[in-house]
Amino acid sequence: MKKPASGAVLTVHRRLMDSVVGETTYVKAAEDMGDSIMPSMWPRNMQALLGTDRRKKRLDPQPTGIKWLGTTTTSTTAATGGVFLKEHTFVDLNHLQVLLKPASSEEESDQIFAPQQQHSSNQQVALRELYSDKQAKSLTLLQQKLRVLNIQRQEAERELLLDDQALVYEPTTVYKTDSALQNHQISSKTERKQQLFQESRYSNEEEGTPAGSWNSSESGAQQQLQAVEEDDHDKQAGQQDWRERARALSKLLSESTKREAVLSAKLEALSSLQKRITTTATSPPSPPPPPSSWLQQQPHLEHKQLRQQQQRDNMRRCCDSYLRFALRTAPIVVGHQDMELRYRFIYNAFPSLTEEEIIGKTDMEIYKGKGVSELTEFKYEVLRKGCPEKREIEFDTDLFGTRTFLIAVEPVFNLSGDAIGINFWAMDVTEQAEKRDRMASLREQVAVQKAMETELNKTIHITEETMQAKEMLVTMSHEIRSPLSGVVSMAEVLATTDLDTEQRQLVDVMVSSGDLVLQLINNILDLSKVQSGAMKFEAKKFQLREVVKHVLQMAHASVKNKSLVLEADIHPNVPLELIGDVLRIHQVFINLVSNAIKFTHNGGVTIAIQVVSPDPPDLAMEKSEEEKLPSLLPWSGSLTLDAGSHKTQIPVQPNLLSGQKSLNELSNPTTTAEEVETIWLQCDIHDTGIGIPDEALPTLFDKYTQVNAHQNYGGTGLGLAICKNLVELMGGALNVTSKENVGSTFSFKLPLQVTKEKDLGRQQASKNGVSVPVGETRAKISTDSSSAAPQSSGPHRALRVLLAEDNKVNIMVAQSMLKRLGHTLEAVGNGADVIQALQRSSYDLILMDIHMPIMNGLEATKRIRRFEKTGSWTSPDSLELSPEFCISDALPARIPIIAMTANALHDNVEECFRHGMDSFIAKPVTFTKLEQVLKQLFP
Amino acid sequence: MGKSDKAAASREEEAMQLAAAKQEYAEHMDSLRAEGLLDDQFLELQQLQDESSPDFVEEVVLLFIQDSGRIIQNLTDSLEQTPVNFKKVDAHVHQFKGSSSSIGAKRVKAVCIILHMCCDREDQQGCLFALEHVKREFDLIKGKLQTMLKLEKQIIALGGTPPFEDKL
Repeated sequence: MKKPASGAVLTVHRRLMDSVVGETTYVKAAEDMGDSIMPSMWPRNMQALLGTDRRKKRLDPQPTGIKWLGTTTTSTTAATGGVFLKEHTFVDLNHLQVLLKPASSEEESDQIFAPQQQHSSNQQVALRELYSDKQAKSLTLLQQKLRVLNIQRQEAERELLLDDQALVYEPTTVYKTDSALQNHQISSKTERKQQLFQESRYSNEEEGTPAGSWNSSESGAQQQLQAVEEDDHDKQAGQQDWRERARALSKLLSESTKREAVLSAKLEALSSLQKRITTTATSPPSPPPPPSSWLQQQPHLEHKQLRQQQQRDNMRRCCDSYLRFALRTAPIVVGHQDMELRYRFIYNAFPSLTEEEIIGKTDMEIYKGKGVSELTEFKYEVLRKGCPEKREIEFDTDLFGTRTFLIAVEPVFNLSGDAIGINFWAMDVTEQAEKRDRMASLREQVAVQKAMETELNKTIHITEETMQAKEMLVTMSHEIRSPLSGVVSMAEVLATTDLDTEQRQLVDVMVSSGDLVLQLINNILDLSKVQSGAMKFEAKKFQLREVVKHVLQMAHASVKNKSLVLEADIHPNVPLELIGDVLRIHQVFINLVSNAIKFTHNGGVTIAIQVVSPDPPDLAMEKSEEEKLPSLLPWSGSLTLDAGSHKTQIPVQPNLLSGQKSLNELSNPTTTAEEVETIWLQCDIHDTGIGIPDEALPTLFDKYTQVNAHQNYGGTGLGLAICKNLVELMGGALNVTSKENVGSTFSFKLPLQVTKEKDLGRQQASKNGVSVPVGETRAKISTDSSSAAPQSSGPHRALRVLLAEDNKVNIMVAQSMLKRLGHTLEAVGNGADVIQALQRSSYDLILMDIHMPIMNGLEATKRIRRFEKTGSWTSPDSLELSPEFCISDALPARIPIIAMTANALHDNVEECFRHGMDSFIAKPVTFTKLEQVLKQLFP
Repeated sequence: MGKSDKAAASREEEAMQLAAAKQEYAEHMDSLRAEGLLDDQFLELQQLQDESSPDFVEEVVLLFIQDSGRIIQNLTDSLEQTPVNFKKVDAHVHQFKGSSSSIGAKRVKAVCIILHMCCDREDQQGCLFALEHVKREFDLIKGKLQTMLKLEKQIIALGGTPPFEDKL
């Protein structure tokens, strides 16, 4: 029966289907839906583009020449239309037959009706069922139609019967003569109706000639009518009208019966068709299923079996319909490939491909690019292994660009269990894959961030712990310092008493050890300050030559039992006045010089300072000016101190007094217009000591490092670290060059600021007061400075100072110092007295001791500041204030308050500032300290 | 001639005496520093003495001696009371520490710190012990300072200037 026209390809269009099942509603609805919502598998624009290409003609229906496995042409073509609704669906029918062939000879007939096909090896059965379902469905539809028509016919017959009754009952005298007949008619009214119905139906079914059936029933009715007419034809003329109506109805009835007969014939044809299909598909053929149970009278048992079978069929048909419906817009590609992976069937192929380009070709032949070989390999793998698998493959092909497909491949077996091809389903998951990748990368980022966060938290934690440890160290150091200085002092006291040699040695060790610890603690405090960034650098004017002089004096005092020459060589290009933090620079010098002295046994230590490049152009000019006036420059040579004469005391005060001169000049109002520039100062501290071995140089500036730890040079190992930190914090750099047993040179460069203007004038002015000519003796320095001292008070405004101090000695000392500075002083004994004094009179400045009876300095300061803010001394907690006093004028100006405290520790100082003090002096008050503070407040 | 010779001899003798006095003074001051009795702060005081206040150092020293004597008495009294008012004691200690610090009496200041620490601990025995030290140190420095003043007076009487004024 089969007609294997080679290359006979079935191209199906949905319009084909309309011709047969167009009446069915739900399929139609699905069609309409499909038209409006096209599958989104391939890009829309691509489909639009292809609308005009060569494939268009293929989309037209080709009803002629289509064969479906050699069965009846018209009906099968129509039926397959419902299976493949897609345009881009191609099939190789030859191959399908190959697939079906082995199955048709072996399969049992009952398999056809198996509700579900479990195995993929039964694809043939599935295909066949699909086909037979199609026909069964149209059959069902026809039957439904027939049923509707039958009901209509019954309605018509019922109406006819009612007409008869009307005729019987209408005339009142009709039944007088024939009462027996009348009675019979009344009693068998319903029976007759049934008879009529049955008669009509049986005639329809059994005789097969509708006309005859109609005639017989009509003649029965006419007989009755005639009988009535004969009885009563001359009495009732109105009966004529009723007869007319009855005739019309009879006519309708006969027409309906005719239609029924036609439909029955159709039904017969369909059932025979079904029979044939079954016969073709199965061998040996099962008894053909009867089209419907009510068309033929069947024995009861057979009837039941048939019904069950029919129910199963209906269900399967339903499922298939749903499946097709669901598949219509499914964005998937379904295909079948043979053993060589040549396409034999494809559903929803890529729109630009024609069937010739797909069917019979392999993936490799159709498109190229990344992923194709992987796909092929994957398919072969499935074939080899024989079990279905899924894989996601990324493509980058010439056909559809970069896309990711999820591909499920399933092997197809014949009944002997050999793989004969594969089925595959592919779904575009590009977006999902991208999303997933994005999610993955986001998760990764989050994880990385979390890890970083954890790391940071850890670091923070460690840092916090370190900070706490440092703070602890600082606090402890503070706490240790004062008792330790007590211990050391007591040990020193002890050393002065009558001791034997052994005792004295012990005490000496005590003192030196104590000194070392004190030094260590001071260094730790310094270092912690430097490293915590708490150290603030001041930018104040200072005279470098004075600083160096003081350093040498101090260093000289520390030289013991050694004959060393301490020298300072300050180049003329170093300006007289520099701006920077004099205390820190001093500290660096002291540290480096005492370090040098410590490790030098012969020779000497030299400080050399000069201005180096990068030189600003202005400075170069300035330099040349300075060179013209070499004799005017102070300290333009070297100061030599003979450290050998240890007994000679070098008083410190000349330093501060001579420095005072320049400070006064600073406050001179004529030098207001200032312009600052930066110069670089190169400072070298050279010694002729033991030197530093090369291998020790890299770690030299590390904390707690001592090169010659085994030799007893003492020290904490912090000095150089502090120096380096300080220099670096000031923006400079500290380096060292050294040769063992020859000497070391510590060099640092510092950026310092210098005022540009009126340098010349100032140098001339400074000549008298400050300058120490080259090679002056110490005695000369002394004379020089004492003559400078009285001048110092000259330019200053005399200040009225209020001193709050309860210690008479302190008052006396402070008074003398202030007098020397040209100020007048009034002293009071406590904070309350300060407030009273302020109420009486006005002052330029208050020197406030913190520790006082009745009211301490902090409280007094707080009240003064409050008064300055509010104009009133009264406050809720004030007790010893004169209540009558109240300032009604404008608020008073802020009076500077300087704290004097014996505990110049950080906390105390903080507290002072918090209470509104402006500055502080650590006790004991010295001239230098007082002068500096005053200079700050009254420049 | 003889008269002038005599005068010259007398001047020479005076000069020698002055030099001897100065030498003695210098040695005395050196020993004070060497023994840690005085520190640089005392040099501050000496520096403050000038024409306008010719007796400044003496005044300060005498004030210190007088005031310190009073404080020590107060301390002794306070510590004998029961119970001891350590706050009051500490106030006195603070005073004493301040004075000794101002004058540069290093060792007195040191023992004051110890006394202060004992006060903080409210350690009466410790305070009494430390007070003994304070007294001894104070007596020591008092004697030395008085000697110093005597030497200064000698020098001035011999026609010299206060020695520290031309020290440098």
